[in-house]
Amino acid sequence: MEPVDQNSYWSSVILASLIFGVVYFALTIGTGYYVINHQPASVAMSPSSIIGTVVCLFAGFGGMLAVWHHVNEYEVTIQMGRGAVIGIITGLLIGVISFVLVHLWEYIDPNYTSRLMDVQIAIMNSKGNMTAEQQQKMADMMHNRGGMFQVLGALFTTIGLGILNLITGIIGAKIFKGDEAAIVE
Amino acid sequence: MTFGPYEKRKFLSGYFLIVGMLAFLLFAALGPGIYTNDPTVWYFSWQRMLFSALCHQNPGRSFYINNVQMAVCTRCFGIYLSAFTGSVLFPLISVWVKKKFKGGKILLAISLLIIIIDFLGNAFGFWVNTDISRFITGILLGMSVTYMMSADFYNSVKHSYNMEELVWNR
Repeated sequence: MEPVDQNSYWSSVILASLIFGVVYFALTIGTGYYVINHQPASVAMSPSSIIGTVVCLFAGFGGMLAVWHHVNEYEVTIQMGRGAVIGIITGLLIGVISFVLVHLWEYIDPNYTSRLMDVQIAIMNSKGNMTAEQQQKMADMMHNRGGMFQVLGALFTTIGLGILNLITGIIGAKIFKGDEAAIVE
Repeated sequence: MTFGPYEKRKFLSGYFLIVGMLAFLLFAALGPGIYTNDPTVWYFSWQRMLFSALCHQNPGRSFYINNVQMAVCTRCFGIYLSAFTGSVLFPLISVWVKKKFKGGKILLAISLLIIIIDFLGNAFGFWVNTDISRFITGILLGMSVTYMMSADFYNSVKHSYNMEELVWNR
């Protein structure tokens, strides 16, 4: 009979998602203000572009951290399926936490989103692969679809975080265990 | 130890779930350029939103399809492309040659080291990395991860089936 890890993973999941959710939120807000306070032409990158320049796929490693913490806390070897569960829950929570924190921030600075949107439009226009007509079309679309667009964006972002953290959770389950896999006799 | 029908089904469904997700990520990474040539669509596309927290999506460091930027940068595209390809190829090859691939963790460490060197060299001005170099380092990372994971696939197949009676047995 193969060993089955019955320990609760919630403390690891919550810890990892809080760390990554808060750090991601801080990076988002910090780079958002950086972009707002500089000339768009000189920045020429969106806030997510700047976060990604620091480290691409950063938010995808929350699942791996949660698995690492769980394995170390209980000193167990976990199966990849359990790593996947830990990873996907962590990813979804990172998305929810960062979304909630960004929206709470709007109470502190109500103009943050609209200022950021204006800068985003300027950045998109500065890319040079759009005609004047296309630039105007996009500016109109961004202003008209603001609220719904943010909800959809948060939804898809959370799904993306969930999928990638699921995969890094599986990888974590593979890396953070002994050479003898649990499924091997 | 031999797997029963439940374990076999669980193992196969888990494998195909992962391959399916990687195929979905690869498809999404291509961006909206596969069905439109209007660059304004990019910002509002679900593909961009899906990867917005995971990739810098820098227009200067991305491939374009039909004048529309892909949803991820060149390095991330290399990762998703090779992760999907490797997840299909490496497990099949390991079963075909009846050999468990070893040294996956070392390969993963080497591929990460190459990316770090490439990033730091570019950041400190020793060289300028290109779309192709970033794409290749991404491919190495994706390949090394799937190479490492294929060892577990081989273990599961070994404990699920009689290797001598597999339909693709040579």
